[in-house]
Amino acid sequence: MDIAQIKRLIDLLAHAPIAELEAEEGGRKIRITRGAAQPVTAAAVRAPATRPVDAGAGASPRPQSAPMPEPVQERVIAAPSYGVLHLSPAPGAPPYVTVGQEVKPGQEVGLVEAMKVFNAVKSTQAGQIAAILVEDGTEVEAGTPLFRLA
Amino acid sequence: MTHIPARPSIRSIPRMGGGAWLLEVHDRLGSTSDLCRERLDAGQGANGVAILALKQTAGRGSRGREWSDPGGNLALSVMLMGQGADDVPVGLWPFIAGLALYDAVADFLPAGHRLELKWPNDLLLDGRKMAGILIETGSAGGIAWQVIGMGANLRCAPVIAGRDVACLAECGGDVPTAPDMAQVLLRRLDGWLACHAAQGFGAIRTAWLERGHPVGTKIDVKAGNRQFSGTFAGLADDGILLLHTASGPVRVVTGEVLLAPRG
Repeated sequence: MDIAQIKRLIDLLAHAPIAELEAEEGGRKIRITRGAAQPVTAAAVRAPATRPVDAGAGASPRPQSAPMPEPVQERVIAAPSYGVLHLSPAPGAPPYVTVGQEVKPGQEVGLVEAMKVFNAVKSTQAGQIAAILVEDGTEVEAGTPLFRLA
Repeated sequence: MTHIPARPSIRSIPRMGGGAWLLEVHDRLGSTSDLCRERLDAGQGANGVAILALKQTAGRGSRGREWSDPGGNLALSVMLMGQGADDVPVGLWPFIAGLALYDAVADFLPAGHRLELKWPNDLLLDGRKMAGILIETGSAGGIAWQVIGMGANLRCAPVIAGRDVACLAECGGDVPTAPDMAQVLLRRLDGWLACHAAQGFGAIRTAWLERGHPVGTKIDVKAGNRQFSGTFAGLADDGILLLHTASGPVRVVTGEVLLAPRG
């Protein structure tokens, strides 16, 4: 499975009313899930797996009975689709948002462009912009965290 | 807020696979795409509705550029939602819309003039821009949408500092009205959608390459602070522009393409 195929799967998930998608090809399996804080995340795992795969490469096995720590859910605004990120509406114009600025749900905070198709990046929740995680003009994948909210 | 005059006229244009485009003809609007976006934001979007303004006062080009309309030109935005939007991968809409625009203009072009698509979907008449497309995408309530805004200089080329633009009227012959051009364009769009459904992007890419700047054309690409120079090497299977440069192949996702003058 090549990058283009993975991108298509991510785009499919981004526009489909499903929470998770799993595909297998040539002994490699990919599972893409839609998270609460981050609309789309991708994680590739190698199949077949004889036991549940740990999240981090090289992580030591964890006894099944051990209590699982709660995952830290960062509040982020993620890229809605693949493309080049624009942090301002036009070249030379002020940015959509700056660090410290309060944003409302649905507020436009950026723009992703691919092949002259423009997709507005909108905040999914209220909060304060704590960090801008990607530089203007960077190519991003669907689901890439772009802003961290305080 | 886009100014909406009372009672636009509505024309129904049958589609190949059943159903119809609904063409709303407004006397005057700020921006046809803005009206589509307002309806989508208000939960009033509808698949297959096309908005035409006989006079557009606040047209938008890509990334904040103004799209000026002195009057008599085409300002049309097509709204696609749900399955209508999902039928085509987002990145392929520029090529399908570009082919429809090319063919619609070609239907009215007198002999002796040259039309050419510039990646991904600017339309050049005898080497000068005469039409452009702005595609916006998003989702509302979990339903994907696209708004395809198309502007074409039919009767008049606006004066834009630093840009060489053309209009169809310069070529002589009968210039269509904007509503007539819109109907032809929607039928052409239908045709290329059917082509994509039947044959996939391969057929679309082949058709684009027949109408676009030839492989081997020297081009510059300005992408933000970066600039690439090289020769056009074709389209990837997802529409990305392939460029041969002195330092190797480059895949261009976005940027302004400048064609070198040709004889």
